[in-house]
Amino acid sequence: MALPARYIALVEIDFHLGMPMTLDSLPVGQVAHVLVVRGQGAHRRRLLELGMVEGATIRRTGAAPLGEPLTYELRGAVLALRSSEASQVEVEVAT
Amino acid sequence: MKRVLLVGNPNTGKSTLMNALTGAGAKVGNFAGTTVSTLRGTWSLPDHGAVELVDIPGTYSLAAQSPDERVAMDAILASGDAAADAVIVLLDATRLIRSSYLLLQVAELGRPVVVAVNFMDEARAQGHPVDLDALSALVKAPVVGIAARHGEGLPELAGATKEILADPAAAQRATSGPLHPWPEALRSDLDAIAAVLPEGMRNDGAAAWAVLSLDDANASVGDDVDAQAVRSVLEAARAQGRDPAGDVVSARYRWLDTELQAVVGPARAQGGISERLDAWLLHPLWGLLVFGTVMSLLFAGLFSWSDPAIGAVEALFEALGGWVGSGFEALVASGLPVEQLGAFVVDGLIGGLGSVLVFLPQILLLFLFIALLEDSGYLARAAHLMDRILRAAGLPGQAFVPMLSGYACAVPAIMATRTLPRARDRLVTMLVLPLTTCSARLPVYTLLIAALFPVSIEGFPLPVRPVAMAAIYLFATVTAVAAAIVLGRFVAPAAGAPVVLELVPYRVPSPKVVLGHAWRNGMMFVREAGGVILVATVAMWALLTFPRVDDPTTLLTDDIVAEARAEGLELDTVASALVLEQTYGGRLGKVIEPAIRPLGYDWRMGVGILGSFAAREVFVATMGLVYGIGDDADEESTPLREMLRHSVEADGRNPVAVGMSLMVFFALAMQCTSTLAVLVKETASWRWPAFVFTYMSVLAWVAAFVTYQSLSRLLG
Repeated sequence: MALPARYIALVEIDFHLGMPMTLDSLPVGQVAHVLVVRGQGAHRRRLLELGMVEGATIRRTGAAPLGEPLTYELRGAVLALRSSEASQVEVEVAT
Repeated sequence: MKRVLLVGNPNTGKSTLMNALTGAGAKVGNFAGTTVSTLRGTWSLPDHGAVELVDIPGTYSLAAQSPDERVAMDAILASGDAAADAVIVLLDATRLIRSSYLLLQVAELGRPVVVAVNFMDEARAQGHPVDLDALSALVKAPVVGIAARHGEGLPELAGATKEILADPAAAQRATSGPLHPWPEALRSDLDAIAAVLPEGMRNDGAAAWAVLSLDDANASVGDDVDAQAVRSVLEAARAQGRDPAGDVVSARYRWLDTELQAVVGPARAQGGISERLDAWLLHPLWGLLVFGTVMSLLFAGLFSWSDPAIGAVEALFEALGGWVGSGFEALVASGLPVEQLGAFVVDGLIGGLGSVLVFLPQILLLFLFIALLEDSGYLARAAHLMDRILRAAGLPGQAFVPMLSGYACAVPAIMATRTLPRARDRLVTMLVLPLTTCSARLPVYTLLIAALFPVSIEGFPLPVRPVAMAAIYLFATVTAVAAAIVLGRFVAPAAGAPVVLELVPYRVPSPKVVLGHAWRNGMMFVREAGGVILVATVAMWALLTFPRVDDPTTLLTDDIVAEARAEGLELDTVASALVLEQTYGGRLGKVIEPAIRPLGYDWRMGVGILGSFAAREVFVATMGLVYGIGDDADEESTPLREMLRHSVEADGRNPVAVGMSLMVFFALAMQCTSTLAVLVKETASWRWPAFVFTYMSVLAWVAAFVTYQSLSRLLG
């Protein structure tokens, strides 16, 4: 029997516990730890310099009304990232 | 006078601190040869005297992607006359670790540093006061806690700065030796890089700066750095599987995370009020409603509220001109040969001065709005909300407010592009802003539509006139977006990363900061762009005035008098039309006639177009003049409308085709000398304004040609 959508979402989070995923797929409210910022050059450097280094704690706070950019809380600041940028950051969901 | 720099992340309250320390005397200006603007003021230190305080644009990093972004680094490392005697690094107590990352970069450069921790009041209220002594011991520099908004801690900041200035050697000794460890392999890379850097940059800070700045293969940081040599060290490190740029940033944050944890206590959530407000202000429905309301207010303010002030400026200069003019008349009557001089002073100089100051109400109002939005934290939300839409044009969300302002007037809008953090985005926005339909085009459209467009056309189901007006606005908007995409790709391709937008906490705006911001930008406009606009206006006036005819009635031949009588025209106004016709501008109108014939225009329209280079709305008055109706005709003038329509129909041109072609031409042509003057100042070059003029003129001619030729075939 197919589960209602909200149960599936819960199962997914559970599945991702401790598993690497990228920032753009982090559910709203979820806390995670940064593993690595992929890509190269200026994009990557900018994210690193904002403190997105290995081990940093990050929380998804929401999104702009038109769906993008996505917002995250990092080191006490709320940052808006386009999903193309967020998908470059691998994180590990925190318990 | 000694020089002190003020550096910090964006939104750490730098302008508030600057305002508190230097008062209203601070001046906005560009760093030499760049489009990066800065604020300079005089700060008087007790028992020391005055020092120059220079506000460096807010940044997260000193690393540069372009020579333009090197200003912060150059200001900190400058030697000789431009050398900085001390650097104040402003930290945010509520985001201490993140803002300390910039402090590390400055401290590694070995410059005398004073640390000011702002928002101490908010940190206390959140229950996390910063341990200033512990911080001072860690970073080996004096640390002062302040709350710039309330003036808290400012005397202490002055005291600490004074001590550093009195004994810079001691400050440098204290910070000599590494603040924090680097991984061993990185350590040797940094040494190898420091060895190839120019003298004065041979330290850890500069080497780390070079690693980050040249990490991108296409980056260039200026001629003094041997980028090739730095890159070969980076290549060698990467060949060993290392990542020097990532290692530099990680090493700094690792040290901050371990050592500063004791200073700030455990990580905590962002101020709850801002997050709760954002739940409403970024809500899919309420958020967009609030945004629409705020932006409508801004636009209404620029478009119509500024009218009384603009009218007052115009009336003032008209009165001044009349008063001075009657003085000259009295002198002429007493036999002095000052008639030419009088005309120059009244029409050229006073008129020109009026055409500079007439922009001031909109500039002040726009910067008041922007400062209010920025200081409250909403400007960041506006950029966040519009990012998705502007991305289609290859621009960031921050371009929205300048673009919207362009629909009122391009001059303040171009100045407002200063809010765009990235030089490339700012340039693209400035290049396309003159395409937005500014309010000066409106009288021209109103005249052309009323004169040349019928109320309805057979087979066209909608009312023609409103549709024509809506169509020209839509056309200009689509063209501006298309131009942003094309120019963004081919003329100013994206370099470096798009700016990551920070949704700063909401705060109650400080009236002092807001008013100061508006006032300084208004004054900067008058000081910097005023001269160019004045010269351009006087030149346009001269073109349409000389050579002068002492007695216009000598131009009235018997044929012309007979014709004027037959058409019931006043002889005086016919004479002034003839005077205009023989001026250099009038002759130029005839010279360019072959070029504008294919667009459906006659030489009169040519003169009108030339006249509109002073300001677009002047087209209406010039047309009044060339048709012999008088220069006080406005767009509502019935005789002018009739003359225009009559002269178009008389030689068999289709009025709708001519009208649409003229509107397209006005939508696209760069006919505003004031806009060009502001572009000269804001791009710090003649090249970009020349480029804008060329691309818009070519675009206007081609589009008007296509419009006229196709419409006149279609409509017969």
